[in-house]
Amino acid sequence: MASRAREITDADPDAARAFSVSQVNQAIGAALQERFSDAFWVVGEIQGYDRDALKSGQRRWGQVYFELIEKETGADTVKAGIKALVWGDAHNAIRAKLKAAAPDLRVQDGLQVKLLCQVDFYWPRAGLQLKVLDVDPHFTLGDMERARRELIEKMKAQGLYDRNRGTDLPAVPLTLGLITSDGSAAYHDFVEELRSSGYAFELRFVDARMQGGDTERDVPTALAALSADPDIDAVVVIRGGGSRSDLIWFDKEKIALAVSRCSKPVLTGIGHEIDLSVADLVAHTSRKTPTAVAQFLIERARDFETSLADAARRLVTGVRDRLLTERTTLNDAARTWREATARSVSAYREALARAQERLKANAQRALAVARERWLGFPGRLRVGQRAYFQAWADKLASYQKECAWRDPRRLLAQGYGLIYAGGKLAKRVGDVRVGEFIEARLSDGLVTANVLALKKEKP
Amino acid sequence: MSKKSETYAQAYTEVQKILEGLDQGDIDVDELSEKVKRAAELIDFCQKRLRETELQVKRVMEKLEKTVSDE
Repeated sequence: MASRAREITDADPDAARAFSVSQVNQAIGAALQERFSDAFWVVGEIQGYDRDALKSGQRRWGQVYFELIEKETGADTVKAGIKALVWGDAHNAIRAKLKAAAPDLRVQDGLQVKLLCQVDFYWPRAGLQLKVLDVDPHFTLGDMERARRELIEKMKAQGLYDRNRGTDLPAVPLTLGLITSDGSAAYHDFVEELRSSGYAFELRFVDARMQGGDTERDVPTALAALSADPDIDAVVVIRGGGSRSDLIWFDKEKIALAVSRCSKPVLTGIGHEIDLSVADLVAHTSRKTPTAVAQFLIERARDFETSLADAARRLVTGVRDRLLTERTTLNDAARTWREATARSVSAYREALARAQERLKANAQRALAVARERWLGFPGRLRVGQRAYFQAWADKLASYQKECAWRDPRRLLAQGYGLIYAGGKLAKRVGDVRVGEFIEARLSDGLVTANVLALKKEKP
Repeated sequence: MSKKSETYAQAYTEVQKILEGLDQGDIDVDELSEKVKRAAELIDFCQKRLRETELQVKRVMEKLEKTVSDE
């Protein structure tokens, strides 16, 4: 083979010698084998494996054909690619090795791998490919971890890591966007759990691929569509349990960003026992399984229902307490009024009693005095009888004398007169007018006179 | 937050406010019956909303496909 390769490359281009196709192919094969005799490690991303692996069971040697690609740094475009093949035995050994390193790690599209390869040339068709012999699982795990860490750091730096957690999850999110694969166990588990709760949940369902390369397209599209729906309270992203390598899609930037930027709170249940994907980390709330997400929502509804019942109870007791307080206040006021009235009534009654008492005492004293006086009277009468009546007789005689003395007739007889003007006794000059007729009573009759002049004298 | 949950949240906030007023004796006896009636209505509204229907699932697949084809 080696000599045949040299035969062609060393040939004189001008010579009129030509090679058959098989000669060319074999010569290329020989050259490749000489140059690439040893196996070597290749780092790249697996593509086209998932679909082809389904057919491997029908192949005699169980081989799988796929492609190893390299992407442009920081971009999604393919820089280079090469066909690859793994024979059934190597395939099984590789799967076992990955599983031993991490129970849920398996070969699949999108996975970054480090593979031990040999250049394989199928000369009849000039088919060049890499024959995969072995895998370094630590590279894959390390790469997944590194990519994940980098994405987390990047999102933190851009303020996107906690962004969705900042959205407002209503007390009871009843209208939910649901993103999952139609007919999957995740879909049934979630819907049935919610249905059995009896709460009025309403789901806006979007069918999306939850594994394989389509995931990276479907999930962000669905998130964007539901994010724009004004009726939705929260978006639920769920999938059944899968391998860790299935989860690589939820460590992808596109999905993580779509979750972070969703205007609704995103609740994830993408089913992984050990690690949380980046989508989980940036989501509003994350649970391990679809059922757990449903339970979270039901719990929230139940809590709310309980708090409603509490509110109703508080309302009833609050009103009762309030009315009780009012009644007590009224009762207190009434009692105070009653007591005050009773106090003043009894005060009056006491005063009255005291007055009666005093009256009685006074009356008795007065009676006693009177009795004393009247009881003593006859004795005194007997003792001072004569003197008593003599005194009265003397007093009477002197009264008579005075009366006789003051008799006007006696005064008239002595020469005094009484003057009447207009029928009235005139005592002063002012009682009489000039020209007026006046009467003067003397001891034995009346004299009528006309007043000529008046002269008042100073007293 | 959707419009539905907004009215829902508002209703609940109003109930809480009335309860607070009741606890602190801020509500006059004259307006007591009116407030209590209102709170009872709101609680009833919230409770009914929680249980008014069975689970409903609407597919918005068509919407998504439209969005995809637009891109």
